[in-house]
This record gives sequence, C-alpha cells and structure tokens, in this order.
Amino acid sequence: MATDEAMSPRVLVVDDEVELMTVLCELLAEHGYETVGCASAEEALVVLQQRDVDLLITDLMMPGMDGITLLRLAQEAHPYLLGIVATGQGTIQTAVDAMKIGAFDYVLKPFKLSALLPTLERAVEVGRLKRDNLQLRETVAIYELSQAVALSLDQGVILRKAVEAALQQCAADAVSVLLPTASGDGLEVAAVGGSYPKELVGTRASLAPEIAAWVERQQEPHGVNGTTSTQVFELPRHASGSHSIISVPMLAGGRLIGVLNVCVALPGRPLTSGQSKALTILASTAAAALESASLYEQKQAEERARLVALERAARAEAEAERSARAVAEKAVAIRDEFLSVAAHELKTPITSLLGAVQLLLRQRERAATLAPGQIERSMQIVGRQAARMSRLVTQLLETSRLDSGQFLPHRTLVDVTSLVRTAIEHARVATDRHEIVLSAPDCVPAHVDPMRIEQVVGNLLDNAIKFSPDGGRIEVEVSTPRAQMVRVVVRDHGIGIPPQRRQELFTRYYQAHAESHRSGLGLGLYISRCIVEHHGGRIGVEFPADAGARFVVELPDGTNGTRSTAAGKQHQVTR
Amino acid sequence: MSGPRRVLVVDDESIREMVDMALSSEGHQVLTAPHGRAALDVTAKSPPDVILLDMKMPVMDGWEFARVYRAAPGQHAPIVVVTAAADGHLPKPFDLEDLFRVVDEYAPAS
Repeated sequence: MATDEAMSPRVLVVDDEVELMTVLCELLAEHGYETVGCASAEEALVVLQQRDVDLLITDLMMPGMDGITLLRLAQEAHPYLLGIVATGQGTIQTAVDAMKIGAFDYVLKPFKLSALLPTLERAVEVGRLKRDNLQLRETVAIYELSQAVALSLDQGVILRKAVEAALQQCAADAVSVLLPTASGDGLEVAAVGGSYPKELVGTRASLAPEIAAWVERQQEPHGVNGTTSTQVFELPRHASGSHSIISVPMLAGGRLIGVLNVCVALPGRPLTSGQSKALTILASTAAAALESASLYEQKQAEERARLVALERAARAEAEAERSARAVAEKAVAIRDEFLSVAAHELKTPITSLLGAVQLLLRQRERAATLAPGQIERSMQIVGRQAARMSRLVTQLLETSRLDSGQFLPHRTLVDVTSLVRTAIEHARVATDRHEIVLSAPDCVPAHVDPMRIEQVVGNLLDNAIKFSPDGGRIEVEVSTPRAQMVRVVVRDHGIGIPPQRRQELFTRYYQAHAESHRSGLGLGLYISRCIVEHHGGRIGVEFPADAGARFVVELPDGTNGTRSTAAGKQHQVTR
Repeated sequence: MSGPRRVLVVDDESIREMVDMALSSEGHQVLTAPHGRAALDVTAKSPPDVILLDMKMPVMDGWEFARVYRAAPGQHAPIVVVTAAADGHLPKPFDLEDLFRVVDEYAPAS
C-alpha cells in the first residue's frame, strides 16, 4: 500500500485531442515516466480513484469538465499531486487562474518535448520535497499524539487515545486495536474507533492465516529482532474491495503487545509512506505505554495484595488473641464455678458433722447420761458425713492425678461379678427407695484394678440413684459379649439426660443437671472414663426410649495385653 | 427458751437429719422437705413459723421455692437462707448456737 519513492514518477495525461495525448504518453514513457492517458476529465477522475499519481498534465479546454475543475478535484484526493496545465495562447489568463488554484506550472500549446521535460523534472523534484515535508509534518503530528498516549498509565485511556490518533492522522474510516486474550492463545479486539461497531470489542480477531502466523512469530522473543521496524503488512481486503486495511505490530522491547489495524476507504486516498511510518511510531509508543500501564497495574495489584495480606494477618492475629482470651476466660469461669460447687459440696457434710458433734456435747452438758438412741444417730451422721467428705477429697486428688498423667491401674486377677456385687451392696446402704438387681454369670475373671473398677461401678450406681429421685428399679448386668471382653451395664429408669446435655457428659466438672439436681463435684463420670480408658476399655451411654439411662462399660479382660490400648481413648454417646 | 416453734427445714438429707435432732432436742416441732416442691406441699398442709432454706437443691431450688411460696395467698413464714456462700443468713458450716438464735430471732414466740 505504501508509496515507494524509488518508483518512476507516475504521470496522468488528459487531453481531448487523443493523438496528442497518446504521443505525449509514449514520449514520456521513453524518458522513464510511468504514464496513463485519458481523453476526458471524467475518465481521469476514475483513474485517480484507482491509483496513485504524482503528476497531472491536463488540457484546460475540454468538452465536459474543464482542466481547472479536474485539477481541483484531483488535488483534493491526492494532496501531494502536482498539476501542469497545457493551454493555447488565447487562454493565458486562464492558465494564470490555474496557477492561482495550485497548478505547479503551465505550458503553452503546441509545446516541444524539450521545453516540457525540464518542467516535469522540476515538478518531480518539488513533488518529492512536498511529499517529504508532508511526511515530516505527519511524523511530528503523530509524535505529538504519541506523547498524549504515552503519558497515561490507564490501559483504557491509552487505547482510546491511540485509536483517536490513528483515525485523525490517517483520516481513517475505522481503527481497531487487538490485544492478546487473557489465556494468551490469540488476539481479541480491545478498542475500536470510526465506523467499527462497539460490539466488536471483546470478540476474537479472525485474522487471515498468514497474519496469524506472523503474529505468532512476533510472540517469539527471537523472531522479532531486526525485522520488526518494517513489519507493516496488509490485511485481506474487505469483500467490497473498496477498503484498504493496514495492520501495524505494537512492539515493546521486541515483544508483541498487540496489533493496530487501520482501515481506509481507498478512493483517491491511499496511505502515504509518511502515514505508514507515523502509524509505526504510534503503535510502538502505544505498545510501550501499554507495557508501562500493565507493569504499573501489576505493581498496584501487588501493593493492594500486600495491604490485604497485612490486614488479614492483623485480623487473624487479633482473632487468635480473642479466641485465646476466650479459652482462658472460659477456663477461669469453669474453675470458679468448680470452686463454688466444691465449697458447697464440702461444707454440707462438715455442717452435719459439726452439728452432730455439738449436739452430743450439749446433751452431755445437760444430762449425766445420754439416750443410747441419740448417741447412735449422731454417730451414724458423723460416720456417713466423714465418709462423704473422704469420697469428695479422694475425687479431687484423683482428678489431679489423672490430669497430670500419673495414674496406672494395678491389675490383678479378680472376679468381676463379685466386684460388682460389692459395689451394689455399698450402694444399697445409701438408698431404701431403689431396687437394685444384678444379672451376672457366677464368675467372670479379668485382670483389672479391682478398687478402680469397683469405683467406676459405684459411680454409675450413685448416678443411677441420684437421677432416679422417685426411686425405682436399677438393673446391673455383667456379661462377656465376646472373647477377652467384659461388659458391665448399669440401667436406671430415672430422668435421663436431655439430648443437648449428652455431648459433654464425660468431661471434667460437667454436671448435666446443674440447675435441678446439683450434687457432687461433676467428676464421677470423668474419673470413670479415665479409669476405663486406662484399662484400654471404653464407656458409653444410651438413652432408652422408655426413660432413664443405660451406661455401658466394656473392658478387655487383660488376658491379652497387646490389644488393650487401641480400643480405648474414645467414648460414645448414643441416642 | 422462748417456746416451741414449728420449723420447716428444706435441705440436703444429712443436714435435715442433724437439724431435726438439734431443734427437736430444744423442744421445737420440725418439718422436713428434700426440695422446694416437697416444701410447698408441707407449707400448704401445716404452715410453719420459720423456714430454713438451702438454695442449691434438686427438683426445685430455693430461689424458685421462695418465689412460688411468696406469691401464694395467705400468711408467709420468714425464710432463713442456709447456704455455703458467706452471704446467707446462716452460712454453712454453722454452730448449733447460731441455729437456735436464728430460729428465735426470725420466729418470735407468740
């Protein structure tokens, strides 16, 4: 598309005297000019729409359109075209008029070739200077436009200004900029201007295969060097053939940033080489600006990400601190609650004990002899309350030992049935409202710590009694459901445990009935669980549909020590 | 001695037993209840002159009992709060002398 300055000067000869016109064309061709001849101004205009012409030699007086009108129209379409008018003597004033509207010179007809040739040579030289000047002005103009493009760090602004500059500079009909797609596997339309519809933005560019291949090569860092500056190429013309599109690579540091496409309606307006060069400059400037904008955006994004990360870290730290404080506060609250419960639990037996002793002393002061019934009742109170206190103190000590991991079961071979029977006998002393029944084989031998296991069964029986406030039946069962496994079940028909309270049943200080049945330290099931787990067994609870609770303890019988630990360490709450 | 009074003791079993023995030996009539609800039944049948009330109890605690009892129509006996906390009228553990004094103080002989 671009005009090549090394070409022969192109001359259009227009004269209604066809013979003269033909001879002149032949003569000029012999002198190195590329010539086209036309017999009328109308015919000449058609030629001018199709090709680039440097010089126009036209007769002034022609039927139809005259030479002056033709010259004016030709120069509108080809700003660098030089016109020479040919005229007879009688119309010298007209020739002067032609000079006034921009004709380069005039020759008087009939003319001699020797007179015409110097005029033509001069015209070609002036034309070249005029063209150079035009190119320079175009280049300066594009440089100024490029500066506006280069000053922005916003991709949208850069693209918009580049499109505007290209439209303005080339008097183009439509301009588009293609940028790589997000996935990097092709190009898509990033900006449009002129007659291209806005809807094109975002669509994938469908370039002819050779252009795609060219673009592909440009993405290779090494395929670019040396040749990039002249890579101005033509896209396939539109089907109508009435447009010309040039695509300019947008290169920054030898890397293809995008492609600038400029579409020009052809008639009389092919792009000058100055415009092509200008577009190359514009494309490179826009490419560099886009690269900077991208780096700037990347930097901004990194900074934003850094700030976000900092903020997130600070939040996480604050959150961790809050939750650590919450955990500590909860631990303190649990401890305070426990101390209050422990104080109540210990002061009750102390009160009874002190009272009973004081009562005995008072009565002895009053009467020489005490009624035997009085003495016995007081002594029973003293004995029971001392035992109760002893139990509480033992629980506290045991919890402390279990917490510090100092607990080891002292296993001996015992009969679990008789051990359970002993626990039941102790429990029966504490109640006259409950019926405790045992179902067990005669002898169930196991290697366990007898005191501890009896303690577990005792705890379960205490709970069964405590949480069957209206009395009732308590069923105890000893069985060997499978080899090397002993099961002890304690089932009551009392108030059970509400579902939302079941999860923490075996945790320390937990009292499922803290509001309504407060009693004890909340340690019984916790200690029981620890003892069972130290035996490699497990403790769980079920809540039968017909009320009450069913605690199940499963213990390895200790005849095969290797399987004792794995089964433990978990307890399950079954609903 | 300022005459026999009818005393309702609402507390743990061991406390009830001991207080019953002590107050009976002083000539008072003693009624007992294991928790608030049982105590409401007792007060309905035989109104006491004074109530010794523990706060932490099964089934119905002392706060709930006091609320319901005071809302009920009729005469109300004074309530003596017996707790392990130091702010009760009769903090546990207490001396028998304190027990007797509290009964005299809150249920003067008519």
